[in-house]
Amino acid sequence: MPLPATQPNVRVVTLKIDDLDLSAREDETLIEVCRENKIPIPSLCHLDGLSVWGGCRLCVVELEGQNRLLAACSTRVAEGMRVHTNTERLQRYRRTLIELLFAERNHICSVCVSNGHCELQWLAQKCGVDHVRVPYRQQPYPVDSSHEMFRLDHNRCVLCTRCVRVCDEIEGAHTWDVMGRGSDCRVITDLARPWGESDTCTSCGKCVQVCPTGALVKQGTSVGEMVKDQHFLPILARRRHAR
Amino acid sequence: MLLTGQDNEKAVIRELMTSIGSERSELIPLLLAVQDEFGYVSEFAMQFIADQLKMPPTEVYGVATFFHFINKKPKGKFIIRLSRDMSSIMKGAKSVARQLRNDLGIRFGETTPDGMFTLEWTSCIGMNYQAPAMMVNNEVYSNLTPPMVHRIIEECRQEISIRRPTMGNVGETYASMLSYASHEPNAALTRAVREMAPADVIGELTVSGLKGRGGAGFPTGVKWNLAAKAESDLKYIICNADEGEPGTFKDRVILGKYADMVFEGMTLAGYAVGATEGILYLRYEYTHLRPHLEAVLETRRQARLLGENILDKDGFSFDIRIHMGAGAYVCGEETALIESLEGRRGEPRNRPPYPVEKGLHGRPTIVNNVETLATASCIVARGAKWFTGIGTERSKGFKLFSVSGDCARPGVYELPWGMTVQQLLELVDGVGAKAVQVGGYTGELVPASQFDRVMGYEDLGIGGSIIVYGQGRDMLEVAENYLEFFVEESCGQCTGCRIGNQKLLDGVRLLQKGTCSNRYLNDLIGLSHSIKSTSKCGLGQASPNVFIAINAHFQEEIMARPILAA
Repeated sequence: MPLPATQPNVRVVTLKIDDLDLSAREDETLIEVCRENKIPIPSLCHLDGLSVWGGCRLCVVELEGQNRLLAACSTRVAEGMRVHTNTERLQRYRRTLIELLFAERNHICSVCVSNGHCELQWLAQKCGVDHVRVPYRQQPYPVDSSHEMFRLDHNRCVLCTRCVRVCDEIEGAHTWDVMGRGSDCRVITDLARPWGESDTCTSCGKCVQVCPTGALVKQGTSVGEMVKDQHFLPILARRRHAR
Repeated sequence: MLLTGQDNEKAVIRELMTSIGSERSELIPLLLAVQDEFGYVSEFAMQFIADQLKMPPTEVYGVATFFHFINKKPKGKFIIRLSRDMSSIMKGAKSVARQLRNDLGIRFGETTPDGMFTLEWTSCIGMNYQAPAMMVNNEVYSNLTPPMVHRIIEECRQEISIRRPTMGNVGETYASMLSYASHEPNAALTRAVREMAPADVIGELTVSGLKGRGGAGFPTGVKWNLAAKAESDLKYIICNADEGEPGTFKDRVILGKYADMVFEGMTLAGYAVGATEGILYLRYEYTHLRPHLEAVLETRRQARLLGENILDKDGFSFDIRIHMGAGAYVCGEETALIESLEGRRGEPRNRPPYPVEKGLHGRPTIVNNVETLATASCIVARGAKWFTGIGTERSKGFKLFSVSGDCARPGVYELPWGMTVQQLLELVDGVGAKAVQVGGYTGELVPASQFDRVMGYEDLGIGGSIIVYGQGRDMLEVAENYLEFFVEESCGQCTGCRIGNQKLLDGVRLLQKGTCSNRYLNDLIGLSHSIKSTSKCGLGQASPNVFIAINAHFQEEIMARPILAA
């Protein structure tokens, strides 16, 4: 789904989020409105400038009058909506989801180059994950260092597909994709070959910058150096669409 | 010039493309066709197909690895796939499996060194009433016993390639389908085209109260109305024959016996909403039905029931083609089905927009179950009044139930809504059961104490698969089987469904060993609710049902396991 182009004449709607009266453009999603108004909503797969994926499910919110939870990233605002973003139930679910992410692969913060500026780690702290109740899967995952500049460590991957989307939508190379199904899913470059052998990769490094964890990093960087910069993305995305 | 193997492969793929098409939406049929030629899809073939379809090769790889029936490595000449659904396990699939392992000398997931046989488990193949069942390539064998399996292997070894009739190895299903059997062929279509405006057809369905028979129960009239109102130059009618819900086989029986009614229903829908193209999405496991269905379509074209100016109605054109699935349960979800029709990984989309507004190729699309469409034919032929006279206040009409498991008379039953589980058990001779799974693996596990519950949208509003569990059945084995299925079939998009179901499965195994503490069990029940509430599509929203159910109804049984010493 490509990013919708900004349209000049859209209606404005009013809605209530966590007892705050807000107004928003009709074509906005809940997560965008929340971010504009400094209402914190955790999310891993959503990133301003990329299409909506709706896979991590951390941004689920409650809508009054509806039993089913909604993902804030894929729900458009509507007139008179009453949304709750931080109820006890939502906090519980988010904690569980983050625990599951930690238990799925081998996230060992102390030896990760993203330690201290990792979105997963940061969310875990924000959401109050003080321990993981389910056992770790302890599956062996490969590390691909074949690329001259970058490294892919599957142990840290949370399958948010940001790399897949930025490569396709912004860089236009589509080197990345996801293979397999369910818990066998893995991000791949080209025909699941080592990254360094890729014919399509332009080595632009956008995937590294948007990766929320230490799954994609610059080779040879230390913890202090591997701080990711995602500011380029919304600027780039808007300018492309304006054209 | 010397032709290399790769040149040959290229030539074959080019030729396949001229017959199948070179659109990106034909990716999956193309991959399946390449596999039919070479036995598997090589990386070279994927690269070449990607170049030809102007797609990134990595995406082709992603799609190919998503689907169960696309092989990335060479497999045996005979691929044996034994069904792993609970009905098969109950009727002795494990002893059949042992015989297969012994005869072939390999384990499941392996290929014999001589390249003759590959042995695999597979999800339900729609043969639950004649379980255990397996597929040898595209042929189905049912009511298996170990000696029979031994004989089949011997036949394959000697390459006795006697052409068997398509369903030759399958016994007749017990089926009571009175309304379908008494349907006058094409009465609905004739009536609609000659006497009714498109809006009247939709009105008739709305009045009838028909709801989607796939399981979700969305009112069919409303769906058609939305699609009719949506403005577009092109609209699609998709018949969802991706009957993957374990324990369900009614759609296979309908397609085998009453395919005409299904196509009539699709044509009706085309007339009602102004669509010109219909697609039957047939699951790979039902490949054996395809020649029959193609023949029915051809007959209908000859009879001017499909094509241009149908039944001499000026400007009413509609045609139907068959699209094969490639083995993914999640593609029964309508948006995942549409994704796979477009040649992508079968991952459910974010909704809204709903398919009736933006479906296949961004056009308004109706996705209806096989039974819904066939029943729509009945309703338009006989009038909504006849239909509303059957069933209950809130659940109108009748429903087909696929009954299997511990009962004397399994089969397909046409029954009015509103029966209790107990009445159904009496009918199929399964009285005294311990529990009944109503609505397939995603439905509800009903314990004996609740057999007075009513089957209908007011209580157990369901897809129509009934699995009967007798007194001796182990509920933990049932839960393990279900969760293995969901772990296998989860698409991997949502965090909870991808990882959480795995944790529930691990939990069931702990319970089997007697090493699950009460506290951890409570954590897992909390996890079940998290998965249900946060998942995007029906698979994740329903997969933990069984875990919650065994805890609610069989807690004493599951916590009573003696601790097994390692």
